[in-house]
Amino acid sequence: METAAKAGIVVTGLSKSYLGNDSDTDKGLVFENLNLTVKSGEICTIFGPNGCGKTTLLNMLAGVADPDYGTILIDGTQPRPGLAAYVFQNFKDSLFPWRTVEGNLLFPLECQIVDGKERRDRLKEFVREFGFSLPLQSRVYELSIGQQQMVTLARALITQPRLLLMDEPFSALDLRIRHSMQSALLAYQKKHGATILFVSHEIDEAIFLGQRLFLFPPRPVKAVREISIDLPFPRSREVVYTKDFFNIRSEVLRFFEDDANLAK
Amino acid sequence: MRTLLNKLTWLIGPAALILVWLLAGWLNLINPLFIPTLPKVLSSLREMIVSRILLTDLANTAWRTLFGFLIAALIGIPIGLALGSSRKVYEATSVLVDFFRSVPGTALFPLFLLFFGIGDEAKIANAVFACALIIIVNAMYGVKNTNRTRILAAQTMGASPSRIFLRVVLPNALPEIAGGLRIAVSIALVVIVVTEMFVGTASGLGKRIFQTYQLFQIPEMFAAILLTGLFGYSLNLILIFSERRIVHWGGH
Repeated sequence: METAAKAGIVVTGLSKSYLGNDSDTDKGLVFENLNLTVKSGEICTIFGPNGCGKTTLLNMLAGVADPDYGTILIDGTQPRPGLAAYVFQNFKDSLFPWRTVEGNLLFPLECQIVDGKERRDRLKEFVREFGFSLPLQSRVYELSIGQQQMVTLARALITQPRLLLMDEPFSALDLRIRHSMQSALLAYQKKHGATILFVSHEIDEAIFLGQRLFLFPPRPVKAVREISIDLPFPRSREVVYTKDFFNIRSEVLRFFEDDANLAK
Repeated sequence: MRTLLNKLTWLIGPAALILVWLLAGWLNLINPLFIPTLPKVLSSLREMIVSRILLTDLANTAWRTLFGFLIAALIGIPIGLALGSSRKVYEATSVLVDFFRSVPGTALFPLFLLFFGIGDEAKIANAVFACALIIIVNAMYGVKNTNRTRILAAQTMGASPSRIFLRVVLPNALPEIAGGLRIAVSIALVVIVVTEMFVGTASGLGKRIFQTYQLFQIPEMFAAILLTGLFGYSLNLILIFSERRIVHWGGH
């Protein structure tokens, strides 16, 4: 059970400043002595105002930014690029337009697998298992935005990452496409049990997808408010009409009301 | 019918110009000593092509232009990529690059004559100089303007710095590099044609234009100008066409 306790994300005493750790002022401070854990296989969502450091946290978890103080452990190891998969809000920019859909899906495999045949086998296997139905030889910029985001999601999942970091991935999509993307994500998670940390700007999405919800106050973030979402899993769309859903929604809104009062 | 007309819209401008030129000739609106009529220019063009004079000129101008352009691309692209990749190198050299970019290319021709003599070398060297700067600047900005999210995406996937450069930064910069090449080939032609007007050129479109001017063979001069224009336009078309095919992702 030793390893089980270490699994998931464990953030301890995290401090981070935009200005670097040798600055005297608190001006650029994003996080101060922050603790946070996400259990292995759990879906946690993050909701908070712009500029509160959500993206900074994801970058540190992805291993492309370093904390000033404190430690981050992912399944017991330090974050490093390639360990977690990242889905960006701006999917148009995160795709490689000079590559076909297939080429985009192969990119993360190229970073990890030397053998070309093995990469193509992995791709074939993934396409079948994920039910990926977009034409592989299409140019990505000729796809609709919903299809483009489906490519970035598939590209993130193709390496079967233990951890998925998602930075407002569905915010530019219309309701119908957003719902189908949410369903695809939940179906994948159910099958593979990946740990997911999902930043959302949409309160209903943050509640609907999460098993736990982190509310980030405006920075500097010293502690986050955790809300356990005890709605049955897997969730149906109907859940948003229930009293429980409404109560959680109210709790979230109240948190930011109080917070606004505190700031005065 | 309607769609056919829409497809031929591009013909309106050239047709109008030809019509005005023809009308001006028929109605004696312009002095043919300065602007000869279109049929006269065309018959001179035909004669000069049949006698092979103009074809030799064209061949000489073409190889000088393309050779200069090619060398400039081979020098300019790597330098531009290097300047764009390193902040320090960029900061150390940006004033120099901006200065030389501001010097009109042909202003340095006497200097090149001094270094290389009056043969082809000086002309080509001048074209290389003028083109390389444009290619350098475009390649540099192509690298510098690489989308941050795109690099971040590759980084999070565990791509090494060299893989990020070769597989992300470079393809991302290619449309801008291609744009630079397209401007550069036009500049190469300008420099070559102008420098051909100086002493020491046996054959070349610039030489032909200037010589016919000096001999007051105005229809022949117009014919040489027309062919130079057609040559420049074809170069441009070839590059635009290959740009669309090869770097199809430009602007995405």
